[in-house]
Amino acid sequence: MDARVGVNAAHDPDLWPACGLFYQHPCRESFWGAGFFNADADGTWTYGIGHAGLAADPAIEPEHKKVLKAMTEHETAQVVHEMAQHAAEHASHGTHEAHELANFVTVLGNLFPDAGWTHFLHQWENVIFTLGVAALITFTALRGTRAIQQIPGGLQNFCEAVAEGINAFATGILGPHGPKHVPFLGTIFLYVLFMNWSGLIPLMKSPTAAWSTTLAIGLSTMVYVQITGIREQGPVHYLKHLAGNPQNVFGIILIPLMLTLNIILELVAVPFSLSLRLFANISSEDRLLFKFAELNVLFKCLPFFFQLFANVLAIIFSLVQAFVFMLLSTVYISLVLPHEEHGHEEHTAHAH
Amino acid sequence: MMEANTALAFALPLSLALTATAGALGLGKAVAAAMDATARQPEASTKILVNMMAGCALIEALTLYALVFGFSLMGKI
Repeated sequence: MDARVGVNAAHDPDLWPACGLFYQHPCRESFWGAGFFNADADGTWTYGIGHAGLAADPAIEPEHKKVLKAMTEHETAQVVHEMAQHAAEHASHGTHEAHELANFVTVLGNLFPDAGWTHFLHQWENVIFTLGVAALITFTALRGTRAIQQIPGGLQNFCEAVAEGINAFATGILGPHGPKHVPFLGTIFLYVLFMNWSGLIPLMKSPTAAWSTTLAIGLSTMVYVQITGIREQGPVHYLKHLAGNPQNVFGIILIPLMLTLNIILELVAVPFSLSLRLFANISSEDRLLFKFAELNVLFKCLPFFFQLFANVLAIIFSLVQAFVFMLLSTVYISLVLPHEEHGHEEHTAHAH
Repeated sequence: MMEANTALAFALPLSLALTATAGALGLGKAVAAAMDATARQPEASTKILVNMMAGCALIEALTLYALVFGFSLMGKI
């Protein structure tokens, strides 16, 4: 996709359908290494580098020379094969085409492409940024609550305002059960919020733009909700709820169906929908920022205001997504809490 | 006979446009209803805004599922 921007400038667009193979250079910034092979009608291979100016980058020089050296068709075919293997290897490692702005891990990876430790860092980059965000939240909370005063000021005031806001929100939905769940909900909100925002800082990355991070949060939410359900309703009532509250023979016959349905809905669909929503939002935000940055490079900073707009949008939507994650977690918790009035209504409805 | 690559290259943007259209219609309905409610009861505007946002996030998540699907299929082109 990115390569085509350069390809269009360098090659005849009529040859596009004949385009044999895209090769993405291992360095993540695709427009640095946007080279590609083109099969002409007579079966010869041509090789193009997307941008003449960027092609002078030292990172791709050896590859470039290697390709230009391979003039005979046989050699070219071999190089094509090698590169396809290389690309496939990288795709399987998840380091294919760049779709995010560079962070310090990728910058280090470009500076020391052959060092083992940069590869290690790259494999764990989401975890590194996640731990950074966790450390930031922890230290802020510790500093804010170190010397608690009757009349709060500065950081303590801020922390109290945030905690009270989350408390008011949780109590508004869960009622008297609210304050018990504030630690979990508040952690989710702040954690997700700062992970979303960390992608806007230069040389940082949003860990939530990877599905592994959001799936972990979604799964822990699911486990927390189920444990809350078991604790609040009791194991017997919980199992009865999973089996669809059988009231008569017909209900007992339906148990296998209801059990499957409830297990899929509560144990599988909840973490999937939570995690995919967050992941899709944040990763598309990051892609948008990356695309605008790429356009800035290609078109001499003309789309700068688009990028400014996208940045403002990303700030707002990161906040909204973190809030929605917390809101949905709260709603899921409220669904498993026992509702005496609700159960009574259902009972009378059945009696009628 | 259309190749798989060509078919995907046509289908991906079209499918995303289709889901975006449907999502825009749904969002329009939700926001319109919220605006009506706010006009009728301005004092409840914060509550309405929060509920509307939750609904909007649920609606646009469907479009984003299509986006994720599109991105994962884009690797096959």
